[in-house]
Amino acid sequence: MHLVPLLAPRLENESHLKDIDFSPGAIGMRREAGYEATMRALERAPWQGEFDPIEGVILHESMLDLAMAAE
Amino acid sequence: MSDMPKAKVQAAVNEFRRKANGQVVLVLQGGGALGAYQVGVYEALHEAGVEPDWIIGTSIGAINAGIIAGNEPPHRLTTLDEFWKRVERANAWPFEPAWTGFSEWSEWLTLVGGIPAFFKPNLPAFWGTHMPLGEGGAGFYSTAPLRRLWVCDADAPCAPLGAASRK
Repeated sequence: MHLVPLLAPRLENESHLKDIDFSPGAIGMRREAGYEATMRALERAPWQGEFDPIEGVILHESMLDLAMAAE
Repeated sequence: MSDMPKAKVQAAVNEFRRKANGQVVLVLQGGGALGAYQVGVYEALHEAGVEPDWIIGTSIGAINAGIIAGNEPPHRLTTLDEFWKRVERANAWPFEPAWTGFSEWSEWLTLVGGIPAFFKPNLPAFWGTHMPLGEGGAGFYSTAPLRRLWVCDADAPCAPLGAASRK
């Protein structure tokens, strides 16, 4: 199983209330970030290649997404 | 999709589906407003011509998953758009002040009043834990307004908002 985690990024000025920030600006920025991260993942297509068949779960983390991720 | 040919992505995913007997599974987590990120994720997949075989979700992820699974592929994104448009809370002021505290004004309004199309405060729960409300009614907020996004009648199965608005 190939696992491609996609992580919502931290936004500037976000607070502990970020999960109820339904402002058009925040919704738009998060959506854009999801789009970009998924496009990058599709371009990388990390599931292609040779893998050890013994490996049960193969995690394909993106260092860029990890660095930008929200807590 | 500018520099990535759709055909190439589709070929890669199809090869994975065929060769490895693979399935594309979208797993969406919770997190309220952060779920807008998932709309972008689905938008990119949809544009690339990759529809998931399975969709699994929790909380807002389950709502997004329900909208995706409950609509035919051509209507999924427009229905997600419609839902997120309805739960938007425009800023209380026509400008967005830069200093912190004030910019959280609309979040505080959400805490007090909920989001009309999505959830509302369940006032009896605020009286305290001694209130005998039962399992279903003990939450501080109720998602009953979400039911209005679905149209049900006696003769036909419930239709999600996208399908209903196209009738």
